[in-house]
Amino acid sequence: MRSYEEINAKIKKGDAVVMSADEFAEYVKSHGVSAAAREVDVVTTGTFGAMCSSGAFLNFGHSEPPIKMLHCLLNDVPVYRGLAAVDGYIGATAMSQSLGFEYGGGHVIEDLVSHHEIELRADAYGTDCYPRKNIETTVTIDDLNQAILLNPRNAYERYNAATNGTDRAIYTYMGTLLPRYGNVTYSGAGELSPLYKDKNFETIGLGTRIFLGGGVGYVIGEGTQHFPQQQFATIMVRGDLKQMMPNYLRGATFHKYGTTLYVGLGIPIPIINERVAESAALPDDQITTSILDYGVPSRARPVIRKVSYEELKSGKVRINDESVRTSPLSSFKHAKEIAQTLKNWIEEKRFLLTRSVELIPNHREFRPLEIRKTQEVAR
Amino acid sequence: MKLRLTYKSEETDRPVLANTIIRTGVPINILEAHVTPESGQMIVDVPVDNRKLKEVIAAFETEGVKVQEIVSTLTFDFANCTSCGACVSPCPTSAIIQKPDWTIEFDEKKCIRCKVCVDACPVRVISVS
Repeated sequence: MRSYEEINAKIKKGDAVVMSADEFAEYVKSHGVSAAAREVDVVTTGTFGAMCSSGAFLNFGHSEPPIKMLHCLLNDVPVYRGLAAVDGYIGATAMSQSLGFEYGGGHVIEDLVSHHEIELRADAYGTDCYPRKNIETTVTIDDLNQAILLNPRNAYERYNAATNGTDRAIYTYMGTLLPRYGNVTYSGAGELSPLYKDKNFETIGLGTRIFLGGGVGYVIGEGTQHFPQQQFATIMVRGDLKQMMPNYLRGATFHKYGTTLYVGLGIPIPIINERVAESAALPDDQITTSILDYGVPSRARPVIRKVSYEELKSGKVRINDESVRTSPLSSFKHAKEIAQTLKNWIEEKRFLLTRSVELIPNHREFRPLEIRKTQEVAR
Repeated sequence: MKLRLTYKSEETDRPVLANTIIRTGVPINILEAHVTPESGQMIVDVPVDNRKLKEVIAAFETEGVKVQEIVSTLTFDFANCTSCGACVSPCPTSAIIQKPDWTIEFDEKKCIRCKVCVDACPVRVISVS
């Protein structure tokens, strides 16, 4: 229908027709998918949700005399140090040794992109080549050689909705769930969801340029737990943290669960054929998920019922003949802003599309961890 | 209107709340109660305004109870709110809702100070006033 080269040529001339995914879904309802696919070059998507598998590679530079850090803390949050002397990885769910659940790796990342000063402490055993045994100083993102956001699993195609059938309130990564099916929380951006808008994975893969944390990033392959057969596809992404913005990377705490990072992410979907257009046009009422009972502490939580994102977004669903309040955990306000920002970047000729060099796979086994030794389960 | 009632230990041998309800005919609801050997404190919801409210306050004061009006229960730092919605459905009285543009709206009158939203907020922008 149209090539990447043709789309980019139109973007450079300022002639590309770009719509956000919610606008495109409406447009297809009134004009039909064939006409819409002929007229529209790019559909932009967006999501802003808690994504625990996120983190950043940091290079601190060498002190005088130099150190090969054994342990490293940023604002009292442990940094992964199984790498070269002053490289580290700060993961979103790592938690402060003093503040615990209230401050973690996600907050460190937010503080980095906010250009705040961060306490750096490290120790070492000392070697002939790296004699220093400890460091206490402060750093900002501007002091670092590299600060690279590299998230192993982001942008779930869709996600389960959660409720709680027990007699007590529970506190989960799906938020606070009131007893006796007292509420439903859900995540995933529905009709704005990046991966659902190319559900056959004809355009997204290694090398796809995206909106990431307010800056530019890239898809670098499938994400962990990628399970496309069940519409639980995920991607791994990378981007220069130094270009990103704190309103699209927010440290967060889920009560009695731990810390995480809210990540803003948007993918442009080039309408290369009518199949991609059909996928990009899917509205909330055609994107479904399951409400699971998170009161059952099992990897196989019972399905209470199927539900569409349209119903979830209406603010209430029916469970056992009762109306139950619903609310999202990811921000649709920010998701829309991201899709709109990406659209503006393309219309202003500031963002060109890239062709992926390896598309994400549309089949993967999803394996559980089987425990081979018998052991008591502590709860 | 929500009121904070502070009892001295000498006043705790009488059914102050029941007396006030009977005298004024207002269905007062207890939201919180803390009782210690020295004193007691209660947060109550009084679903009336103006002259009737003054009557209730006067009735409590006649019973020797100190009364403070609670003008604001929770403070939302909307500038830092992400409009995610994590506080909305856990609110048992629908005092927190999302508008069509997904921004958050808080209705002080419906709040029962259960504070479930304070912990539910992932970015900690809700605090007790």
